Amino acid sequence: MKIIKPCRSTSKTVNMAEPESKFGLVDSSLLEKIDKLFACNAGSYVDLPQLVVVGNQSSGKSSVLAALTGLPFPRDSGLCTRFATQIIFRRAPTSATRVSIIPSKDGSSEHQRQMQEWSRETTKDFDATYFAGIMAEVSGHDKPLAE
Amino acid sequence: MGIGQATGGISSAFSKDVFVIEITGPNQEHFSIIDVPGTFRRTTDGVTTKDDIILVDNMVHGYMANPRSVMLTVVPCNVDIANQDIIEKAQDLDPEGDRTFGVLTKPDLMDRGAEGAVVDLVEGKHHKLKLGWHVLRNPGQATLDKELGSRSQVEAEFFATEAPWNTLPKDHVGISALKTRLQEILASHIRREFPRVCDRYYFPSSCQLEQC
Repeated sequence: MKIIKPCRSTSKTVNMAEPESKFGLVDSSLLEKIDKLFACNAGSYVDLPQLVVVGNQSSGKSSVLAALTGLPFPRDSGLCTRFATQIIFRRAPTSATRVSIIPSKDGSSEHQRQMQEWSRETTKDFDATYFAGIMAEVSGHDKPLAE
Repeated sequence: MGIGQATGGISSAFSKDVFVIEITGPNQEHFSIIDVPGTFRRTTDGVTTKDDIILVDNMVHGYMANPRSVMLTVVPCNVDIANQDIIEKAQDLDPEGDRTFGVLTKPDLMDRGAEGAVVDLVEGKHHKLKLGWHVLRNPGQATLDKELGSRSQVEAEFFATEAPWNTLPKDHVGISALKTRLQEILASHIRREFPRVCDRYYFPSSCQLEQC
């Protein structure tokens, strides 16, 4: 059996008494249990649910994703998704958004290194312009991809 | 990722790199959602190749095959479901149907009078899914500039007033109902996970976990 290190401070409780969650996808008692696991550094041991949105091109996938996450995904028909995007939501006391790239093992080691070094962090909400800018940067294009 | 450039030795139209967005905050929940490229069957000159078709199929298969993923298989209403091979793939990978949700889009773009086929689907008369079919009405191309706030209003009005969509059970239409239904699935998934974590690892009492 593996022993989890005890929490550093047992008296401190994280104040999670915030207004209702934006999504309504995970009920609050379960959220609190997961919070405790993260507080004890055991969060990564729990296989958290993973939703995968799949379908043919032009099925309306990106709109479904935008509707579920509230994120302004580019839905212009000229911009087809060219890579997998993983959006991880986690409850924590401070608000932040961080974007990064997990390089495929199939790429060159130089490519992998470059991708691992790239990341952006912000405490602002993602608005459509910022998001579109990030997506364009990640795709390596300044303009929408031609169809 | 440098898509469109010769990087990483991979087909230049797509990338197997994964773009990760981590959003933390007191109002957030604990889950992740993955969007994968849409599958396609015909190449486009100068844009996509036959290798791309295979690359995307393999990538999509990889995520769908993960037993802990809940698949939202998205299908547009205005295309014959018999042409949507994503459903077939989902059923091959999840024969019990415990983790496959059907999501139907573009009800507003259907041929008037042809909606019966989709109504039958939602009512479970054919292509039955254990977790069922759900219909969403997302903003069309012409209204992409609209704020997300009114997206829900437009959708709610559509399902309240447009026939035959207004005859469908309310818990099978619209984004709020979809989230409610997903919540049940995610909750049972998380509950299944806790005993497994508790069995494998020892938590000192200082971790304030009364029970798993």
